Amino acid sequence: MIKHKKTVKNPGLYIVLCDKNGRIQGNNDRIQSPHRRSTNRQAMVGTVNVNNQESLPPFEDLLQMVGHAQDRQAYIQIFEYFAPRLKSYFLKQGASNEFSEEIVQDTMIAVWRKAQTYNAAKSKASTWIFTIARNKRIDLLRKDNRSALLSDAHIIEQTHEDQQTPNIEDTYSQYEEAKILRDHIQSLPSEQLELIEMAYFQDKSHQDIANETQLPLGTVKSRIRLALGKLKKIMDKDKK
Amino acid sequence: MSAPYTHTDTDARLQHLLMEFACGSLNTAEALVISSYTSLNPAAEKELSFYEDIGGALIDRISPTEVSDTCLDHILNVIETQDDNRHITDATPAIQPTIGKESLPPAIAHYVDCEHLCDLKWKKLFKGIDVIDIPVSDDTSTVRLMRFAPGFVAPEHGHHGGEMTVTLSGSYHDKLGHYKRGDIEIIQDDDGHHQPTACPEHGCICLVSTFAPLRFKKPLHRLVNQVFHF
Repeated sequence: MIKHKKTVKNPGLYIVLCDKNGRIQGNNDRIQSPHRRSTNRQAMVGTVNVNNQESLPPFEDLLQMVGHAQDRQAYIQIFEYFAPRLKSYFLKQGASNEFSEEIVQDTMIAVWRKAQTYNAAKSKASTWIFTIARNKRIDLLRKDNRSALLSDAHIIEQTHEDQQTPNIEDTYSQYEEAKILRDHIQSLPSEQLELIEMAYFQDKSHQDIANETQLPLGTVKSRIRLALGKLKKIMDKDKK
Repeated sequence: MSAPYTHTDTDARLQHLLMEFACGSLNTAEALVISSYTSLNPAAEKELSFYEDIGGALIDRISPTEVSDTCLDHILNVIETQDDNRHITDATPAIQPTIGKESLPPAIAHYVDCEHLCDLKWKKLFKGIDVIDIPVSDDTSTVRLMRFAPGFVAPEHGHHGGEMTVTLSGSYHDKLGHYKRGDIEIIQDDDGHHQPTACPEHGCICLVSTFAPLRFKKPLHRLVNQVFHF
């Protein structure tokens, strides 16, 4: 009993309770009626320092609270952090201000609707939200219902094989791992980091990047591969 | 004369495809193939997750841009009105694999509107080959499910623009290797001709994406292909 029921304190932010199935225990105070939301939105401004990378809240916990208890306050915290970053992501890919806002809305609505399928044992919160954002953008650009199904399927397929129930250790290790990955990305040589950011943020194939940077395609590919290979090695080592 | 071919080439090509899938820069046909492949192959899925983790970490690093004041309110309004049916539209029960009923990759299941290989409705193309076309919006690619009868030997052919094949059931072999469920074969322009042969016992079901018409080696096959656009 003690073994399963744990109280884990994340860096000064939340106390999260898990039952023996690894489900987050609902805290009634967090479940709000809609008319209270503006007050609560005000209340949380001071609690999360979203600009300080070192004290990111554990979004893995927050996503599970949204999924299990439709927790609006948790959702608003996710929104406050991710919506402005997703907007930058879409803008970087050449979307207009208006279109970026539209995709931010679509993505964040999907985050609410799909939160039940989020599994902290399988993915980091930032990764999960990134894949939804990436797919939403592709769907809206292609205006093709079939490809919308494809991207939905890609999210859903992650849940098909989910046999594991996440527990608090999973959540915490995803949180820690995400932090380590951010640190290592930060320490990449600038020419590698620049190419990786181009690949992820500017919807450019490796060929397009080669054209733009006037580097030979082989050089682009090998630099990207070198950088990602290095990160992969470090992350694999850290997991062991 | 075909270029020398090694497994390292395939690994490097595959790595780039997984990476580009993670970045969202593949076209629909390529994305369908990679999505199907990763859903059947846990090692590939793990590698893809790593590339997607990088995307997530880059989102964390990005400088935020202010969203409009009404953005959150609009979203909260939408989710409140959707709340009533959220359990109906989004419940995705875990599908237990049933013995003898191999499942289709979810991305393909959406297109053909069934979940198991045994429920597919095939069209006969030739004796020994059945197909189901997957309608993708890219004009330059063809995506098809193909079923080869046990022991079927395909006419020898090459590829102008490359071909990717994910095996869903049974197996086949060609000069480059032996492929079973969850394996992918990636052929590029310079890999020369190949002649896939289906497993003599179970045949083979594959998802095949070609990026240009095939080049058949024999004139008769070339003529036939003008009709069938293989």
